[in-house]
Parts: sequence; structure tokens; C-alpha cells
Amino acid sequence: MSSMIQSYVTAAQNRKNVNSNYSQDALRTHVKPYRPKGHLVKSNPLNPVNMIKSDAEALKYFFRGIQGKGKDHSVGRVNDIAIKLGSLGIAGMLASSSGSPLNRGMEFIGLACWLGAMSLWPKLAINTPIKLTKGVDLNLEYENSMGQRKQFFQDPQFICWDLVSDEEINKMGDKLGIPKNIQNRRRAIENKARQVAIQGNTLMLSTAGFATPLIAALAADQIGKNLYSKAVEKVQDIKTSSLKDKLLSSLNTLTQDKEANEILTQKLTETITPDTRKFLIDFCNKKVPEGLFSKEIETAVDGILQNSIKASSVKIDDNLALEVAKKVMEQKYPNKPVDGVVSDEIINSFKELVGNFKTKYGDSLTDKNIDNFVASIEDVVREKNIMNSKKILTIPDAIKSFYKSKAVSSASSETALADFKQLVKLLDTYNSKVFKGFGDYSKLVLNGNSSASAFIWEQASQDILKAFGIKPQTLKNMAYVPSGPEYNKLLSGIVDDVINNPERFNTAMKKLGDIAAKLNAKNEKNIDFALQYLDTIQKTFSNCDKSGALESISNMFERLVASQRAEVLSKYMSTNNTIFAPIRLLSILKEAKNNPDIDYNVLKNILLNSQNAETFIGKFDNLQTVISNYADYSKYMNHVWSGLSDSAKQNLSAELAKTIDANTNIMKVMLTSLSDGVNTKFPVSSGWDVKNALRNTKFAKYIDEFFSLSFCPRGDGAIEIANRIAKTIEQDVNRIDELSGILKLSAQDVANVKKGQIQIVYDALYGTQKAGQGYIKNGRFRFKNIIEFLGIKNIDELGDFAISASKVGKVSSMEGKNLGAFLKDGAKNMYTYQTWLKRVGFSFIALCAITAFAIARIGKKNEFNPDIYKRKEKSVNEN
Amino acid sequence: MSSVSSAHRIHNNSEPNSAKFRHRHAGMKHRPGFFKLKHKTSDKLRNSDLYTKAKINIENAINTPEYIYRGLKGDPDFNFFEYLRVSKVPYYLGGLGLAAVCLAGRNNISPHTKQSNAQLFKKILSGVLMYYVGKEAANAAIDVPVKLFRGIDLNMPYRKITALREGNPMNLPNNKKQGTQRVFESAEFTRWDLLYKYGEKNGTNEIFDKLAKKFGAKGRMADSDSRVKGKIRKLIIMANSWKYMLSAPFVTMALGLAYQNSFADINLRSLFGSLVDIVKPSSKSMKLRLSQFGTSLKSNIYEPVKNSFKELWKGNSTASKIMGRGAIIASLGMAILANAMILHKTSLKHHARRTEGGQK
Repeated sequence: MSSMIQSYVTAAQNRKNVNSNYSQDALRTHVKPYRPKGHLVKSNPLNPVNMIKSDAEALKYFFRGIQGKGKDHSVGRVNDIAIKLGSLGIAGMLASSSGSPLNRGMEFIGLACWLGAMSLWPKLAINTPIKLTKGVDLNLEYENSMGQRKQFFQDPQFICWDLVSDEEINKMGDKLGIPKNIQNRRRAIENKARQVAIQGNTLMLSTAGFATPLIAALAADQIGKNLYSKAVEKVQDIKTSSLKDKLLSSLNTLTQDKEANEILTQKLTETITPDTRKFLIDFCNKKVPEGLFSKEIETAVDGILQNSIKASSVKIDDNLALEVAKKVMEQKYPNKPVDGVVSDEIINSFKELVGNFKTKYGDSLTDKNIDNFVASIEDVVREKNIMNSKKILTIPDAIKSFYKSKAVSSASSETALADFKQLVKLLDTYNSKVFKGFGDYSKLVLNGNSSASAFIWEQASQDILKAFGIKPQTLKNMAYVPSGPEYNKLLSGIVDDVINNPERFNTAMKKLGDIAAKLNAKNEKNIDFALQYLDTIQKTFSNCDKSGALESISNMFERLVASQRAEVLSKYMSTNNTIFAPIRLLSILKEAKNNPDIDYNVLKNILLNSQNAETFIGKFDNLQTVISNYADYSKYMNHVWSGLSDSAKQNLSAELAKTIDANTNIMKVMLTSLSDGVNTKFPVSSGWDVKNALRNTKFAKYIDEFFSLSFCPRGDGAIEIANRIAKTIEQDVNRIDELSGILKLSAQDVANVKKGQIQIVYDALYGTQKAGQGYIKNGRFRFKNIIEFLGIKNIDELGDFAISASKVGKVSSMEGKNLGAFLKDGAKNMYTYQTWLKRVGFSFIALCAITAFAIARIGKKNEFNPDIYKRKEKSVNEN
Repeated sequence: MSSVSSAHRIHNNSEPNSAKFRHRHAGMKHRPGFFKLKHKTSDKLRNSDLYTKAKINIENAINTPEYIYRGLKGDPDFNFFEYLRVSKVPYYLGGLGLAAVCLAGRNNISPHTKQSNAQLFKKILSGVLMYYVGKEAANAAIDVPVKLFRGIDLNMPYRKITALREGNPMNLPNNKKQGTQRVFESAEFTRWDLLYKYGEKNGTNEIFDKLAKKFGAKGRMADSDSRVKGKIRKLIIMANSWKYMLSAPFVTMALGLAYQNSFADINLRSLFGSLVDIVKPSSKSMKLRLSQFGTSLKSNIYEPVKNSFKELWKGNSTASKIMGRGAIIASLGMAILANAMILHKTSLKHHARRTEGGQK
């Protein structure tokens, strides 16, 4: 019997996880049970190493679990890792469908904040205060004899008090306020601690549902705003510069496409038929985006083939004589089958000709002797009187084309191959290396939509509002009042407040200057590179071998570079306008306020009113489209001159009268409309001559000068400049100097732009680049004028002189918006955010207050825990 | 959100023979009758039909505030089962809270923002709801095949009677509390006792005999219970492990579906309307009403879900394509693998002769 028991026990010992039933059996047989190995685990719950360890353990439990091994506890742990993996999956799913890298990253930050809040709220907000005030550590863990790690207080009906020493229990009891002189104090302390644990755990569960989303949202918001957006910016800087290097180096190390080479070699050593030609054109077309250059490529391919034909030859023999005879007879009888009309006599005479020609020029017919060959054919035809003299004229062409068709079939491929290789290289360079790379670059840098600059711009619009010192109530109104007269009135009031208060004005200008400088500096760098890069591309193409057929295609590339440059510059300008719009607004209005000659209110309304956002002269560009709305000419002119005072109109018309060519109908009508307001039907079909005539006036010259200023508006501010100048002209033309002085001062306030940056822009525009010049001729950007206008003779004099030139990458959503709309967007964003922050923040504070109150009540006596203690009798020795 | 299974502890708790119990309550001995424990259990199986299960869910939901109250008061009778019930609170509240936080900034600056708020609300809410749908689907992906092929209803409920400490202020009849738990919740403390049929005509092992057949045993077994128990224990461990892990791809897929364009076409209001039409008295024939409901079901649920799957599969970028396909393939693949493994490992077909299957 005993041996049976022995073997039974041994078997039990051999099992890895000892079942309690076995232990009990062992007890009955007077065999000692295993010494319990349970112990408390003291570790920092916030230690990331522990967290990772615990996850790894959970994963291990999963792989054991799916084989049917494990216990309830270990299987339960799988849930921890599953929640994390599921959350990661969700974040990945959301990130993958979100457009911008910023949002993509935010999904993961949100996830991290969510998981973080889930694990930190119980530990920090509930368990730590309880530990500090009650001495009961709910984070405490223990490891049982089977090595399973569990929360000490998780199951209130099963707390392993035997793992806690008397000393620790008494310490806990002191903190819990259990009287010292009572019977069975340890039990009392244990009960109280259990009460605290139940209360703490329930409080944690009841608050976590509110706390986790609140904390996660607040944390993700702050991280996104303060850390992540900056990190993204940094990463983008790194990306940008590495992309830069890559782009520039790719230009220097253009390698040839091996596959392309092989195919070309093969094709060109074959017979060149129309099919081959088609193949070559298709092949080259594949190297560029569909539709681009197809014509140019065809020309280039033909050119290359022509070259190869020139180097080829046709063998001279009797067969050639027969063919030539046929060709000649085809000319005589275009509509008859050739075989019927070629007589032996004719064939013989051509055989004779070919024989003579062979003796004289050698075995083959080449590009060099083809003309002689044609001439001798003509001679023979005339001599033998085969056809009349009129028909003879068609023979050279026929023979030459015949020669070409024959010659191609034996073309020498060497030259053609070299040319094709160069063509393919060019096309490849264009598509995959140069412009595709540049496309990536501009996507990353210039188009803010998909980059962090969207975030920056949203921030900027809010910063600008803050710079204006707008009160919360006004901000709300700005967000709520719909665009229109009421909104303009509101905005106008805000602007008046700033203008009328010198202190506020100065603060606002300083802040706006800082914002502008910051935005300016960042993207100026990128624009520099964009222009630099385009220059390099252009140089590459100018330096490439433009021999023969490739010329047209290289020119095409240069034109493309030019259009890219125009795009970059246009971005440059539009962003510039937006950055400096508020500064412009304030500085010009401040000046107008103190200037009795300027109609302050008219000016302000024009500046803020979105309806007048077109440029002054630019209105004539749209003449064709708006003309239908202004059938009545004088009304149209009133629209054009809107913003000008009556006297300004008078002066302008007087000036126009002097410069106008009296023979131009339009000018006549225009003049009359200004002076008399006569209703005349508009007789013009194009706005261009009006515009050009207007440009020649002194008035327009001033306008033009002002348009050229980088911080001077091309868009919404144009009319007020016109107004200002009109007013100035009224008084004294010389006051323009004064005006320029004001502008100089404003410019100095604005931002610090390094001399070198100006130089770069200047070079980009006034260098040798055709594109830049073409763009400048358009009259939209005249940097040089600024410098001249400001009285700077030499660009080196600029030094630290501040001109707010440039800033590109304005996000598409904000692009082209006038100041009022821009600020409205900012107000909407800011108000929405503030509302959100208020609501979420308040909820969180309320939750914390409730939690703190509840924690303060924990451990108190209540109907479930009556706290009845018996005094300790003397001489009773506890334990 | 706690993850530890409970049943064993609660059950174990009322076992007066256990050494732990004796140890724990040693100090209370001076209060005679403090625990009036019934040695004979009155725990009883409940029906496994959908109606009862729905009723149990409602019971649990109704009881939860009471659990919270007692928990916050620190009732010494508060047990782990109740703790787990309370842990459902943050589980559901967290999702709703997330939706609420996302919408906290809403305002009606313009009719446009109002409209986009409504859209955002719908989108976020459907995302949150789909999360729970995904979780449930992961459970069903195991529960349904297990029930089908092994005849085990992992959610089989039983009525659990817990004796309370004397002096509990709740004043319940006989000072006993009743709740509902699951027979197969724990692999270590499975309530086998509820599955025996003492004194029945077909033998004590009637249920186990049937199960043994389902598990693939050939012929009648004398000790079907001990054979089947080991397999069921294995099955519970495997099923629970897989359920947890499956939730990861399933919730990913569910969220992915929720954010597809077609998903917004789901119109529960219209579906509910056509459901009401079936019950509402009208001149239409029942056949017509049912067919109308069928059409409504198709256009309001089936088509949008089908199209959402298609969109998820196609994706609108390489990344979303990879994620979408990955989630679908992982969900299906893991579910199939899980069931294949469970069926393989729990089969009695090839292990009929082995004796280590279970313990009594």
C-alpha cells in the first residue's frame, strides 16, 4: 500500500503543476506538502521594462493556451496583449486611410495616450493617493507558488494575508487609524484594508470610463500641439535636406538604363521598318507621362532615323537597275500596273547606266553619290525619250525616296544607337529623376496641404488673432457672425481698436512681425532650394548635346523648367501676401488715420471687404468675363474706380486725357465716362489695350511701383494703394517719397531677412534664366523695383535691412483668401478649440474633484463596515 | 477591463472544507453563526436559449448599479464576480466617452458645421459601436463552431447562490444572494457537478455520454465523464485564448468597415420602420410585408456592409489596401485556424484508449 502511495506521490512530484487535490492526498499520507513559494512582489508599476516583460509573458501564455495548456489566470492575461494589438490595429487602420503624415502619426499618439491613460489613471490617481493616505497599496502584486503573478487585492474574498508580515500589517493599521489596544488587531486591520481595497477598486472602475478618454484626449492634444508637430517639422526638415541631396546627386550621376540599351540595340540592328519606327516612338513615349511630348518624341525619333539612313548605302547591281526602271515607269503611268509597262529595252538601258555608275563610283549607292545617280537617270530618260520633260521633274523625288526605303533596311546602327541612348536618357532623366523627384519635393515642402505646415498655418492664424488682442466674446462673434457687412463691421471695430491705441498697435505689430518672420524664414529656405534646383536642371539641359534631332526635345525641357519656376514663384508670392496681410493692414491704416488726405473708412472697407480683393489693374484682365454683367459702360467704370474719391476720379481722368491716344475709341469712352458720366455702350472687345493705355499713365506707374513691393499687395490691398496714390496725386505728387518712407519703416518692423536670401531671390529673377525673366515681364513681381524704389543703389547695402520677402507653402485651404476670411477661419478654429478645451478640461477637473472626494471617504465606517472593536483584555497575548 | 477569470474563486469561497477558508476565517470563530453556510448547493442550470440569455444580460445590467454602490461602500461580501461585472462599466463607458470627447468641441457656427457635426457624430458612434460588434464577432467565431461541432455551449448559464455574511445590511431572504454565472467559465473550476444527472433513467452520465459522441468517441463509454472532462478543459483554455486574440483582427476589421463610405448607407431607422410595418395592422398581406422587410434588410444592412467590405478590400491607398486586406485575411484566417486547432486537439477519435484524459 505504502509503495503505491509512494509512487503516486512521486508521479505527482513529477508533474510540473501540482494540483491541489494531489497535495491534499499527500497530506493524508503524512507526506509533507511543498513549501509554499508565494511572495509579495515589489516593483515599480510604471517601469517600462516590467510592462514589456508582462506583454511578452502574455504572448507566451497565448501560444501555450492555443495548445490547450495553461490555467484560467494565464489565459486571462492574453486579453492584455490582445487589447494592445487590437488598439494598434485600429490605429493602423485609421492611419492608413488618413491623408497627411501629421494625422497618421496622431492616430498612434492617440493610441499611446489611450493605453497610457488606461494604465496610469488607476495607478496614479487612485492607488497612489490611497497608499499615501490609507497605507494600503493597491498596486501590490504577489507571486503564488505556481509562479503566477497576481494583484494582491484583486479578489476581496481571497487575499493572501499570510504573505504580509505583522510589522507591515501594523504599519498599515496605524495609517488606517485602527485602535491599538483592541483584540485581534491584525484581523481588524485586514478587514479594514479589504474594505479600502474594494472601495478603491470600485472607484477605479467607475471613474476609468470617464477618465481614460478625457486624459487621452487632453494628453494627445498637448503632445500633438507642443511636441509632435515640432517633431514632424524636424523630420520634414531632415527629409527635405536628404531629398535635396538625392535630387542634386541624381542630376550628377545620370546612369543609363541597361534594359533600354539592350532593347534599342536589338531593334536598331534589325531591319528598320515602319513597325520599328512605331516601336521606337512608343518606347520613348513610355519614358514620359502620357500625352507629354508625343509630338516632340516623334520628331526626335524620325530625326535619329534620318541620321542613321544618311550613313547607310544600297548595293549596286542588276536588281537595282530593274527597281529603278520600275520606279521611273511608275512616274510615267501612275495608274497602271508596273509590270505591264516596263519593257526589256528600258531595263537594258538602266542596266547599262548602273554598270557605268558602278565603274565610276564603286559598289554602293550612298548619300554622297545619290544626287549623281539621280542626275544620270534623268539623262538616260531624256536621252532615250522615255517620258516628257514635265514628268521628268518627279523622278528625283521618287528615286530618292526609293533609295531611302532601300537604304534604311541596311542602315548602320551605330550613330542611331548613340542618339537613341541619349534621347532615352533625357526622357528618363526628365521623368523619373528630375521632375518626379521635384514633384516629391514640392509635395513635401511647397504644398502645405499634406505636410506639417497645415498645422503650422492653423496655428499661425490663431497666433495672428492673439496678436490682435481679441477678447473671448469678440472671438466668438467673429466665428459666429456670417461673412458679410456685419462681419466686416466687427472686423473694422477690432482694427479701429488696435489703430487707436498706440500701445496695442505696437504690441500687435511686434507680435505680427515675429510670426511673419518665423513663417518666412522656414519656407524661404525651401524656395531657395527649389529655385536652385530648377537652375541646376536647366544647366543640365543646356549643357547636353543638342545635336540634330535632340534639340527640340531639350528646348521642350527648358520650357518645362520655366513653367515650374513660374509655379514656385507664384506660390512664393501668394504666401508672402498672406503672411504680411495683417501687417500691411495695420501699417497702412495707421498711416491713413493720421493723413487727412486719405479717406480712412473707404480704405479700411476696401481692405477688409472680400468683394474688392481683385487687383486694381487686374480688373482689366477680367474685362471679357465681367463685361456681360456691366452692359452699361459707365457702371462698369464705376466698378473699376470704386474706392476712389470723386476728386481722385477727376484727377485721374484729367491725367488720362493727356496720355490717351485720341484715336482709341476705348480711351475716348473711358475719358468721357470719367468726366461726364455719359452712358455709352462699351465698344471694346479686349481689355488689353485699356490696360496698356492705363499702364502708361503716371498714376498707373505709381500703382505699378507699389505692386512691385513684396510686402505690398498684389491681391486684396491693391485698391487701397490705388486710393492712397490717388489721394497723394491730388495733393502733391512728391508725397510719394513720404509714402515710400512709411513703407520702409514698416518693412523694418516686419522681419529680418538676410542679405543672402534677397540675393537668391534676386538672382532667381534677374539671373540668366529665361523663365525668370519671362515671369518678371508679366509684371507680377519686380523685386528689383523694390530695391530701387527704396533708394538702395547696391544690393550689398541692404545688410540687415528688413524686407519681408517671401514665404511659400501656404496651405491650399487658406490660399487666396482675403484677410477677413483668413481671420474668420482662424477665429473659427480657435473658438472651436477653446470650447473643446473648456468642456473637456472642466469635465476632467470635475472628475478629479469627485475622485478626490471619494478617496477622502474611503475607509470610513458605514453600514457595511460597522467597525466594532473590542478592547484588549490584559494579559492576552496576541498571536 | 480586468482579465482574470473569476468563477473558481467565488465557488471556492463557499467551500468550507478548504484550508484557505479555515485559515481566513479563523479569527471570526468567536462569533458563532457568523457564516451560515449551506453545504448542499442549490445552484442550478438555467436554460441556454437566447431568451434566457437576453434576460440574464438585462438582469446583470440592472444589478450593476447595486454592485457599484456596494463596492464603493466596501461591502465585505463584494466578490470577484461582481468586480468583473463592474469592470464592464469602463468598457462601455470608455467607448462612449471617447465619442463624447471627440464631439466636445462641436458648435453650430454655421449650418455647414452643424451638418458636419452630425456626420462626425454618426461616424464616431458607428466606429465605437463597431468596436463592440467586432469583439462580439470574435467571440461568436469560436462559440458558434464549438457549439455546432462539440455540443458545448461555452456560455451555458447557471444560477449561483452565494451565502452572505451575517449582519449584511441588504436583508436578503435567507441572507443569500443569487447571481448568474457560466458553467464553463473556468477551466480549473468547471461546474461539472451541475452536469451530472443523479438517479436519472439514462444514467448519471447522460450529458457526458452525449458529449463524448460529439467529441468523436466511438461506441458507449463506461467513463465518458472523465474522458470528456479533460477535453473540455482543454477546449475552454483554447477557446478563451483564441477569443481574446481574435478580438484584435476583428476590431481592426470592424473599425475599418465603419469608416468606409458605404457604411454610412446603413439606415437603421428605415429598417426599424419596415420591422414595425410587419407588426402594425394593415391591409397588406403578411407575405408582402415580409418581402418588403426583406428588401429593406437588403438595402439598409446587407448592401452597405457588402460594399464596405469591397471598399475595405480595395482601399484608397497602398497602405489602406494592405491594412484592409490584412484585417480581413487575418480575421478569417485566424478564425479558421482557431477552430481547426480546437477541433483537432479536442477530438476523442484517436485518443479513445488513453487514460490521462481527465480526473474525477
